[in-house]
This record gives sequence, C-alpha cells and structure tokens, in this order.
Amino acid sequence: MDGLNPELMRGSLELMVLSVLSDGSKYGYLIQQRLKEASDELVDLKAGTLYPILHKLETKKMVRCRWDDSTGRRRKWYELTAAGKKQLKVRVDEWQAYVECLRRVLGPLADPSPLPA
Amino acid sequence: MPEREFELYLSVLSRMLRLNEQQKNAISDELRDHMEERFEELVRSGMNRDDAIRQALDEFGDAAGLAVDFTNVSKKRIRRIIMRSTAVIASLVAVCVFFLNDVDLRRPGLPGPGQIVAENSSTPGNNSPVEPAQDSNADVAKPIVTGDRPIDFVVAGEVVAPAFLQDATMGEFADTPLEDVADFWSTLHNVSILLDRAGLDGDGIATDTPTTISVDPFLPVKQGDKTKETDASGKQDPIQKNHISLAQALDWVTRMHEAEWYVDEGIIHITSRMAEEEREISRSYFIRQFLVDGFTENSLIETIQKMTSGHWMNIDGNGGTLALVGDVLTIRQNWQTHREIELLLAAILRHEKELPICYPESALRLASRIEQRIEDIDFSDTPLSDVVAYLSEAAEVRIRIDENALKEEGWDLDSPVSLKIQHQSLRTILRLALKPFDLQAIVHEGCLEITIASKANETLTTVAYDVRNLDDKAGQLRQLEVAIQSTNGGPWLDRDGVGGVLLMPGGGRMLVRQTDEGHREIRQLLAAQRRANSLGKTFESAGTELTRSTEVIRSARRGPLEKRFYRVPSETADDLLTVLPASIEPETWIQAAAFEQSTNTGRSVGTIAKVEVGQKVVKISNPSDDGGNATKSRNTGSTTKSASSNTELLVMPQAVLIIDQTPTIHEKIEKFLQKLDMDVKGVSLEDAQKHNSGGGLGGGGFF
Repeated sequence: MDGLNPELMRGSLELMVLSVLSDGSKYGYLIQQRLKEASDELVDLKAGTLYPILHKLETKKMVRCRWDDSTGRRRKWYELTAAGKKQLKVRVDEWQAYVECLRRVLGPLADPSPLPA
Repeated sequence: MPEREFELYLSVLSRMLRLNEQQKNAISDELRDHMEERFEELVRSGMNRDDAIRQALDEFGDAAGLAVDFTNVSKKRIRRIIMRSTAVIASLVAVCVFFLNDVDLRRPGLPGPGQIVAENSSTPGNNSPVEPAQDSNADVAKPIVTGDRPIDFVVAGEVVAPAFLQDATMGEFADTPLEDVADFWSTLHNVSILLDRAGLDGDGIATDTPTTISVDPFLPVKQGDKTKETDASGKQDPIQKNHISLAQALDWVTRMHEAEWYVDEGIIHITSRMAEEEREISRSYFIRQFLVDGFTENSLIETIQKMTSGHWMNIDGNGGTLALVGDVLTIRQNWQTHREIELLLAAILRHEKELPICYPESALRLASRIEQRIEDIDFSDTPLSDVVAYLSEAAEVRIRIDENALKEEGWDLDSPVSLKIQHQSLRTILRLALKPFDLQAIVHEGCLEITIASKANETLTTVAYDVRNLDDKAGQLRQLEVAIQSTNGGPWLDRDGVGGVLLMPGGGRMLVRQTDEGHREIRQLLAAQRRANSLGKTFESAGTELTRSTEVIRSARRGPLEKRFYRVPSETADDLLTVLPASIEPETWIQAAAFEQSTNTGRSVGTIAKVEVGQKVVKISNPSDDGGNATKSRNTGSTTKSASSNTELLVMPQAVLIIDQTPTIHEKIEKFLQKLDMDVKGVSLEDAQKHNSGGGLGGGGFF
C-alpha cells in the first residue's frame, strides 16, 4: 500500500476486492495481481490482508468458492454470489456519493489535484 | 524446491489455528498455492531462490496472523483471554517467519522439517542477517550442554538453566493435547522436549491432556498503537524487552497440569511433581564471594534452605542434603530447587535495591506498572475476561487468569463485573473489581495473575532487599525486622507456624519469602525508611559517615595521611608502639610497623615508628624555671644526675614517635595521650621546622 494512506484505503478494501471479482471468478493470487495492475501498482495488497478479507466475504456469503485440482495443486477460486453483486452495486453507489460529497466540501482545495470523474 | 520451507511454515501456522482439521487444511492449501505462485513469479523476475522464499514468506506474515483472526470470525463468539489483538498475532507470526527463514537460509535443501531442526543444532548462528528472532535462534543453535553458564559460582554439576531456556517463545493453544504443545515448542526452539509418560500416568496426567495457553511475545498494546506495533521497525522492542521465555512458558504449562519439568543434558523433560522431586542431583557452589560479602557459612546455608521451596533432610526429614568443604558447598537436591538456589545466589550478588529471585526483570517492571493510573473505568456487568482484556491493554501489561483456581470457587471468565471509577491505579482497580469474587491479582512467575485469595496467600516468592543503608550497630536491622513482622499481615513461619520467612543473613541483605501483598508492604516500609535516612543525612551531614563502622574505616583510610611527631619518654615509647594502633581505630593501621623505615609516605593506612632522639634534661627542683627547661644533650645516651647550686637535673632518654595518619586519627591519639597524663602534641613537619629543634615539644607531664 505504498503511496496511499492506509487509513483511507481501509474502508474500501472489501469494495475493491468485490469489484475485481465482478468480471469473473478468480483465485487469491490473481485478485492480488489484478488490484495491483488496475491501480498502477498503488494498491499492493499484502497476502496477509487479502485472505482474511476473502474469508470474511465468504462467511458473509458475498462470495462463494470452489476448489480446482486440475493444475496439480489445490486452488481455491472465488466468485461473486448474487448477494455479492448486489452489495457491490450498493457499495459503488455509496462510494460515488461519498466522493461527490467530499469534493463539494473540499471545494477549491481539491481542484489542483485532478480527481477521476 | 521451496515446498519444504513452505510446509514447515504452514505446519507452524496450522498449530496456531483454532480450527478443525478440515478448515486448517483448506487454509494451508490455499496459502500454499499462493506462496508457490508468488515464488515462481519472483524467480522468473530474476530474484535468487533464497530471497524469493523469504519474500514469499514475508508477505504471509500477516496472512497467517489474520487467518488466526479468522478463526474468531468463524467461531463467532470465542472468548479467549489475552491474545485478542490481530496485530499482535500478525507480528508473532512474522517473527516465526524470520525464525524459519533463518533455518532455511543456513541449511537449504534439507530432507524435512524435523531434520532441519535437529541438524541445525551444530550450526552456529553467524553471518545471517540480524533479525530479532534470529538472535534467539542463534542461541538455540549452540550446542546445548556447553551453553553459557551465566553464573560463575557453580563449580561442579550440570548446567541447571541452559541459555536456551531464556529464549523468547510464543504459542497459542486451545484444548491442544499436551504432547502437541511440547512438540510445537520443541520444533520452535530446536530442543528435545520429552514427556515422561510413566511418571505423568502415575499422577493421572495423560499426555494428551487438553492444554489451553496463550503465550504472546508482545505486550498488549493500546488500541491506537496497534499500527505502530505491526510495522517492521516497531516490533523489535517489545519482543526483546518483554518476551516470555521458554522457561516461563514451561512453568505455566506444568503448573496448570500440576506437573513439573527439568532439564537433563540439554533435554527438557516434563514429568510428575513426585518424579521430579525424587530425582536429586548434586552440584557444588563456590561460596567464597558470599563470605567476603558479609555472609557466614551458617547464614548462607540457612538462606538457601529457607528461601527456596525444596525439602531438606535436616529440616523436613526428607529431601536434599548439604555438605560444606572449605569454600565449596555441595548440595544434593532436585533440579527445580537447584534452579531456585542458582537464582537466589545470583540475586544476592547483584545487590539491587530490591530483586525478586524468580523472573526479576518482569517482576520489577510489573511492580511499577501496576501502580499506573487508568482513566474512565466503567464496567457494567462486563464479563471478567473482557474486563481483564481491557485493563491489560490499557495498562499494557500481561494479565493471566488462573482458570483452574477460579473454577474451584465456582467462578468463570463470564462472571459479571461492575465498577465505575476515575483515575485509579491498576492495583486499586483490580482490587475493587475482584473483591466481590474474593479474587486477587498477584505478581507471579513474571506475570500479573488473577487467582483465588487462598492461592494468593499460599504463593510465596523470595525477594532480596538491600538494607545496607540501615545502621546495623544502632540496631536498625533488628528494628526493621520487628517492624516488618509486626506490621505485615504475614503470616510468618516462625511466629505463626506457617507462612513467610525473613532473614538478615549479613552483607547488608534482607531476604524475604512472602506473599505478593506481603512484599508490597515491605516495599513501602523500606521506602519510608530510605526516605527517613536520606532526610537524616541532610540534617546531620557530618554524621552520615558514621552510619556504618566500615564507612569510618574507609573514610579514615581515604583521608590524606599526615606525618606528625610525638615526643615521648623512651621507656613509654615502646609500649605506645603497640598500644596506640591497638586502641585507636585498629583497622586503620599497618601492623608491626615498628621501625624507622616504615614511615614512608604514600601509604593508604597509618603507620607508627619510634626514633631514639637522645635525652632531655629536666630540672627537678625548679621546673618552672625557663632557663633550663629546654636544655638538651643530644649526644649522651644515659641518665645522669648533675647538681648545680639549687637545681637537680634529670636527664631522660627521649624518643619520637613518627605517626603517619589522617587528621581525625591524630586528634584521637592526642586525646588518648592526654588521658595517660601525657600532654603531648603531635607536631607536623612544618611545625617542627618552624620551632626548629622542637621548642614546643613535650614540655611537661612527666611524673
């Protein structure tokens, strides 16, 4: 998580993981890599942080998993459940509202740094 | 082939997970997949194999810890004590990773985890990158039997406490079979831990007795500090300073099962108390330094026998024996008692103001921590375990709960506590919170422990106090002894037939075996005493050095020596040569210095010598006549009587005593001579020169 304030990141890690899973099932390592690529390496989620999040999402039934033995070693794949997809939608909306709100509050202060639309 | 390193890591991790086998395997499989893929990628990117393994494992430090945390997620409401903090577990496992990496780096490609550990014992831990856990591993790696002997008074006999017992340990077990716990520490510390099945069976302790214990290498931290604790730089301090040693963990586990442990030839054995007690070994202790330090043979033996928990043949009718030959005290006792003796003797030699003999550092730290104040306590039917966890974090101290004892009294960890209080010390808070349950918090085995009152009163610990500030001659030691025994709740063995023991064996030490509360009272009393003494010093600054006779000697010795000349009759000079050193501060003289040559300057102690200086003529009939008073005839050695008109002259052989001493002693000598009716003044060299040939020397006073 170099470069980004971990305090800011903390609240949105679940959301990021869910979003990475939105285009199909993945296993842990792949999720980690995908997050890294998508964020220009700014989000380098440690394995130690990622797996507990995945397990938590699993208990909350946001994701389901299946085991695949075809690669020679057991691999655990995660995919979004219907509840997970719904949750993702809610969380994305929440996030957008939050960003909008923050932008208004910060007003001119936030102008110099180009925020993504 | 990174699999072995990963497997070793995963097996350690699995033992820490409080999950069923299936869940454990699932987590292992998942993490293994990740590690291997990560490893392959790192190697592809050009990293060397060892670094890639380390890197892959490093990234999992946190994963392992948080997987343990996930145990709590899946089990919902697990209410375990102490180790609640995810950050703590994360750091703990990270340390574990360093440890394993170290093994791996030094011996790549070994056949299997068990052998990695076993064979590693011959490899000294050098040239590896320095990490906190590697230091302790380096100790483990030394051949055990020749491990450092930190104390030099043991002259013969096995090393009782090999260095590896002091290594930081850790582990989190919930209803884990005892043998698995032993197995875990055996792997972690690279030592053999054997369970004596026969002995344990005899006491009804099965080797698979469920064991629940949390050994957390880090102190609990306040909520806000957690992030600080997990970063790489922050985790070194807590583990270095506040670690739980292997010895401590073994003490906890064996006490929990009412078992015992000992070390024999570098192997740790866990056995029954009975078996340990019967297994006596002989060791010899060199006691010269204690005798020099003010102990007598008898007081030292009494100290050893009364301040340790072992049984003794001459006192109890069974148990250990002692034999003293010269300066060597040979003791036959069980291992645990030898361990106590060694700690006791080491504590005595250290001369600290106050030093608990068992886990001295942790105990001292706790003693101060327990007085710190905590704000805003508001418990309302809060489960006891939560209260303890809260206080533990707020005060940053470990607090253990003696669950077995609590169960005996019908309490458990859910017993509700209600307390609302502001800004009180941890001690007060615990006392108030625990009062309704008749529980007490005591410092025991290097940890703050909550137990039932009856156990707290039975748990005696030995502390060596330094009482050199008290004046033995003025009877202050005796007064203190009486004061402690009368004001302290006790009980005391010699007064009440049961309870604590207090000894003043000499050398400015006071040794006390008492309960935690008893020690607290003594601490207060001594603090008051020290304060009073230091106040006294400021009021009578001149008198301070008189508080101890040896102080007088030292200051007299240290003072600048000054040569003075005492003119005395020759016939008494010889007597004075022996009488003066024997009568006035005898310790400050060099004995048998009866010759002229011994008056050299630069000595650190006083000297006395006699020089014959001819004779003195005294007019007997008219002593007040100034004319002849100072007449001298230096060249005549005999007494003659000569008469001239009305005067009779007495010619007496004279001698000068040349005394090299401090001014204080010179004054005493003059007073002494006055008492002998000899009005003799010591004259310094300068004075003598001033008055030339001694105009003022020894005028009268002769018979």
